[in-house]
Amino acid sequence: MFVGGLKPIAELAFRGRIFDGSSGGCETLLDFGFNWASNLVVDLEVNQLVPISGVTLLAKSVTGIDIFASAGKDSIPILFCSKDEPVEYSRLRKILDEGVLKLYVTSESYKAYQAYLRDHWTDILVDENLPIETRTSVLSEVLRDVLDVSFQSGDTNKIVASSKSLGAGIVKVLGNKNVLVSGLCDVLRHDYATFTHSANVACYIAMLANRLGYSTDEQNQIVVGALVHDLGKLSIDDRILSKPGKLDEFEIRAIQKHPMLGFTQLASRLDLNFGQLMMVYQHHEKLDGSGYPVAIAADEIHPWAKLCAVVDIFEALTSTRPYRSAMPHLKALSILQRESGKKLDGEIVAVWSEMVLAQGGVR
Amino acid sequence: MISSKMKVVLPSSLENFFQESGYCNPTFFEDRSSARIKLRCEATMIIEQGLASISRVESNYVVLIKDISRRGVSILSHEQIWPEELIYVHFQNRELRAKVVRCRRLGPSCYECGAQIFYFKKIDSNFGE
Repeated sequence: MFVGGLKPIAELAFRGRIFDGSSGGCETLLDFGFNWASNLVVDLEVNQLVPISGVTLLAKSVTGIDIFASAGKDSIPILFCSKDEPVEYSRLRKILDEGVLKLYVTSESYKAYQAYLRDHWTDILVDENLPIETRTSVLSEVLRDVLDVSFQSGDTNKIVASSKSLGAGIVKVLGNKNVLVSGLCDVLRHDYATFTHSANVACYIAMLANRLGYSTDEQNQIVVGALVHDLGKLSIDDRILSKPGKLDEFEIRAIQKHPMLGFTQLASRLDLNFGQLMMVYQHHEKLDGSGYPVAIAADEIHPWAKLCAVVDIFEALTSTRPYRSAMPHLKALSILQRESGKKLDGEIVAVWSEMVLAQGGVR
Repeated sequence: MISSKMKVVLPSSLENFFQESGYCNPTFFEDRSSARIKLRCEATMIIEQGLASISRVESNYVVLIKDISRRGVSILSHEQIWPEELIYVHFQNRELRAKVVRCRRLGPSCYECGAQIFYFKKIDSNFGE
């Protein structure tokens, strides 16, 4: 649970009583229309708070979960919306627009929040009245949430099912020509969890496939392939995947098994096609035959696997890893361009570079 | 004697393929439960069970056996064989069934496939005489 940053709040002594607005952060909370007398402070004796993104509440339905708000680490979180009431859209909009307040749910109700999210995310994504940035943020949250749950289960059926349900949503939002890669990067998280990486690769590949002119149906399939491309990593010891230092030869060989492990897990399925399987099996193959697991050359690598290879490397370079910090986009692009035409498909690298650099939004 | 149907192209690293014999030296990274013997011969291979999403043009192949142990066999094929495919191999009055577990390209028209044997039988050549 994400409790590290909330410890100062938990140490305050305002547990389980009516909050009188006399402590830090109350002015800010008052600005957002909180009625102090009616808002209970969360009982931090039994609960820890988990931060959530306000955009995930835009479905305008009753969440069934108590939502808390605070104005910062020294502000006591108070009830923003009780579980029996619909979220008040105007107040939420103000919170989102000003970005001052943070919203939380209790650790006890986090599972219920995840279930709410899974039930309502499509309502938010298809709402054309919401700005594309908002929908992209929701997408990012939902992706992480749903993939976290399904990847942690280790159940291939669940992972494929959730990937298929997410795939269409990703294409729907990111097939929009107004979304910029740089804007997308800002709302995505960049840690090194396998599901975060898979979610980000899927978002990038949706945009890339759209730009390259793949049909919507093909885009959906490609995105699902990207969501499961690193499935084999779930079979690799986390101590190796998260090792902060240099990997030894054994560890490198263990990691290099992941395309084959993922492929063998999925190979007998009837609900994945050849291209999707090749994205899993061939995303570390290189045009010059120096890749793995088979070391095939350019003409044998499936075009979808070539797409996956480019965005996979870009995502890995621009995300935090146990052994290094995230790389700036320009540096990551220069690495891709160095391999262009030799190990990576030149056309794909050129199109992706153009997309990342579009409208000077690069960081 | 190599048959005319053989499409495997041996890379230069295997130019002495048919001259080699004896036990294979395990590499540092291998963890094998039984020793491998270099058995260099031609064989016929049938893909008995392919993968649902991957169609094959051919299912009968002329291949080369590279080495064999009690539990596994290494085969050279001119085409990529996919992990999880089930194969039937016939060679020197013996037959085996195995599941492909890995495949590595050694050169143009040469893929080394490792497979786990789950059935092995020596065919009695006098049977029926």
